[in-house]
Amino acid sequence: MTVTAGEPTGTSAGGVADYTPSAPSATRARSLHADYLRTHVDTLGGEVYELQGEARELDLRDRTFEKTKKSVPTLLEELTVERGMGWSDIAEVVGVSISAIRKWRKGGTASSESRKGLARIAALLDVLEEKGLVQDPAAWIEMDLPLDPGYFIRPLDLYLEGHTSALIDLAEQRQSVTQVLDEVRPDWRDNRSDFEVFVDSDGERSIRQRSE
Amino acid sequence: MDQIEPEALYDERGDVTWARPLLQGDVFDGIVLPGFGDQPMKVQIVNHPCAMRKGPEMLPRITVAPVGPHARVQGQGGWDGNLRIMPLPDLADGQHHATKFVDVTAAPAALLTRAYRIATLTHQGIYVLQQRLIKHYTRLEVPLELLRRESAPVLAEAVQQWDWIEEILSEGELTDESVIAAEAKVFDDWLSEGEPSRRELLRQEIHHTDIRKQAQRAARDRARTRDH
Repeated sequence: MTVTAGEPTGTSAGGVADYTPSAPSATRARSLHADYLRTHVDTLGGEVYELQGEARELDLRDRTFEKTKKSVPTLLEELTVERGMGWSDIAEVVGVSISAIRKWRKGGTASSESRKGLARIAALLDVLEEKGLVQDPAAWIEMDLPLDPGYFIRPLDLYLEGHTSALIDLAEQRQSVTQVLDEVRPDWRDNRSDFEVFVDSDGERSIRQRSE
Repeated sequence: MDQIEPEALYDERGDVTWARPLLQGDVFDGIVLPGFGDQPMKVQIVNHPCAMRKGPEMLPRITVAPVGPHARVQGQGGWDGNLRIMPLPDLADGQHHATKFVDVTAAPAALLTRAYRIATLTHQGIYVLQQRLIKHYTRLEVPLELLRRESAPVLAEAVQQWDWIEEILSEGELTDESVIAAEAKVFDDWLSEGEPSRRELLRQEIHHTDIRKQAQRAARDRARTRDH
């Protein structure tokens, strides 16, 4: 589409037809071209984002499938002894009690769903480490995200809510923490606590009202 | 106020492992509580984990609250409207119970032995109990995430001690309070080693995985080399 300076661009009397653009035609043409490119890139970006999400999920599924070939005690050995993951975090991921998991370590029977849950978190920790940006993935997932005081959100919470791809985005630093949270937990800012945790005079943690 | 289902509330009911250290939320049966008559009853520890011990030793008296049968507390209205109790659904014998905060008292620690323990809570269950205790005493409502962060070091230490005891002691030894107490002391000494000590490192989440790995290795070494 070519627009000439001073010529009406609409068909109605008044309104757009009376408007006289001030920019030279070459600038407007460039602006329109930039708009077109931006739209194209945005569309392409969305498609690539979706494609990457699907590819990540497939990769994680493949890795999970490989991990499920291991016995439950072997998976637990990998998670607790090699990775140093906490029993309480593993229990939360699989949705059973700590005692139940500890019995599996000694030969107790786990459901196939539980076994898959163990395999999937083990696979995710591998992915996070292989990306090279998280040296100790088991530690990273249990630490609170770097947010203003009063927010207590861990990568593990995002995993438990099913936001695995967003979690990998965070590890790869493709998006900021707030961008990721805006996307997966739009109301996260509403849950800021008026309190904070601090180290008390006896060396133990306590809770107090935030001073700001 | 948060509500919690039995599956998420209890770590164990009935046959509770002796390897787990005594913690806030543990329920005992058969306790004759001073000042509450001669009949054995159920009680729940309400002390914060930090306020139960001096080093590895239990304090002489522990804060508990009586537990009795109670209609099942249901729905958000039920959990919000019964602020003087901690609901314990399906606690024992298919019956619902509740901890009565208004009857909180101190019990001799010697009464609260593993042989009488009938239930333990998950970490989430402990946070819900803490939330209700705080609300009962102060009308202040604290989110569970805050309680999780506040309790993280002490619960991490408790789980690590549980792991240590279970790794090292035999099945037979796991029914002997004195052997468990002695091994808890060994773990406490191990945790106190170093400058800064491992216990101090455990106060920061970033060190948790390292300490867990060290503890697993040390416990296995000890299991191989100790005299039974």
